[in-house]
Amino acid sequence: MIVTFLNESMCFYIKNKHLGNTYIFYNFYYYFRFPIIGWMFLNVFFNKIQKVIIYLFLLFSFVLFFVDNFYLYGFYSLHSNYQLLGGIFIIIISLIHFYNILKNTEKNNPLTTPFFWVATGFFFYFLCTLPFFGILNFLLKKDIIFVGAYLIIIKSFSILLYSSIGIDFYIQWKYQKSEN
Amino acid sequence: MEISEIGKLVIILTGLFLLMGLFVLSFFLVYRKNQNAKECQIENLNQALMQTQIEIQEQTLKTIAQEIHDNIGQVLSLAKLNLNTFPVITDAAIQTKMDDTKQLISKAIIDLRDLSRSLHGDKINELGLDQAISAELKFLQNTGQFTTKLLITGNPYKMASQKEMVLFRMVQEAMNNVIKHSKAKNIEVQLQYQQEVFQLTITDNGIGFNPAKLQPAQTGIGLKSMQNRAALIGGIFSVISGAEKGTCIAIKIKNVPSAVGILENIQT
Repeated sequence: MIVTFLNESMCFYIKNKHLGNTYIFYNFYYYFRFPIIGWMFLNVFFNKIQKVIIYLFLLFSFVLFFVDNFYLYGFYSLHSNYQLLGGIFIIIISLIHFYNILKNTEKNNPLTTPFFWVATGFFFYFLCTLPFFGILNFLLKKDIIFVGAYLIIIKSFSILLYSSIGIDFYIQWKYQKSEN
Repeated sequence: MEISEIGKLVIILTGLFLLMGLFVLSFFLVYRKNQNAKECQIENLNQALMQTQIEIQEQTLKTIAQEIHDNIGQVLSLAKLNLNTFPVITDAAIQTKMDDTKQLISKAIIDLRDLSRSLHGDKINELGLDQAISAELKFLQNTGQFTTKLLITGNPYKMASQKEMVLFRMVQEAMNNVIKHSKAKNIEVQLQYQQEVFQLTITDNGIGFNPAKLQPAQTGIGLKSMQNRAALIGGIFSVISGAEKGTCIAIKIKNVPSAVGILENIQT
């Protein structure tokens, strides 16, 4: 969250001051963001195959970072392929997390489980922004006005995402308080 | 603002994906809720079953205790009485044998009485958990094979009688395990009475075992039954042990106001 905040602040500043292209920052940010989310899920997955899926994505991210930067897109255009694949990856691991909760034989209420909210937030955010990020480069060339307008929808999903992360923190705080 | 065809498509897809997500999430939550309800039902059934098992066991033990007291005990008392009414024997050797026999019968009567009391559940109601456990430990100490110790911390309070009964049976089960398997010399039972938590700990200095390496078949009825009994009274059962490190069995019960009985734990 701190990195997201710093990245967004920096890009906002650069954009406002017309200092240049912010895509490079977003690209680097995404190569950081998806693996970090994957790593978060790694801590709640106990199945070997599920862990392997995440490790494979981490490896894939590392490879794609070089391929996209040096061969496919370069530094100054958006790496929408990675955004699309990263989004699909997060959707898949969120669904795996839901499946794990369903398979759990212990009686539990998912709504009181902190990580359920994180998974739900990510699931909705990446699912609903997938069509947009999937063709973002194309849209930037064809309909830049629409991209600007669509950012409102992206921001709405961002609010939903960070609200669910907020709920996660709140539940964790409540648990810690009750344990003390 | 005019939205291009591609823009419309993106918006439609976003809406569709949102609906899809909502459907997945609702399905997930409803499914999980049903699953919880089913698990709750099974849990309640298991608890009721366990409760019945314990009641049957208690009744059987009570009958055996009664039989020992009323039947075998009476026969032995009569035998002792008969021996006492024997005319004076002049032969010293026979007299010594006679005295030894009387002593043996007296010991058998005392042992049987203790056993009968131990089996009879009402003893816990009469004596209370602390005293009942203390009597059990004394019984073990008297065998001369064990050194026993009872530690009571906090302000003792009375719990629901069924809860105390279950705890007492667990102590008996643990002691039975110690006698059968542990090769221990020292047994220590600790009762910790805290305001909202009660903890019972049974520790021995025997050969111990590795709980993680125990096969399901090896756990036997003893540990499993203790685990089930603990669950029945809403307790947390734990075993800490290791090869040559002795064994520590703990049962922790949270929120133990005396009024709460086992039946209240079973939600119907």
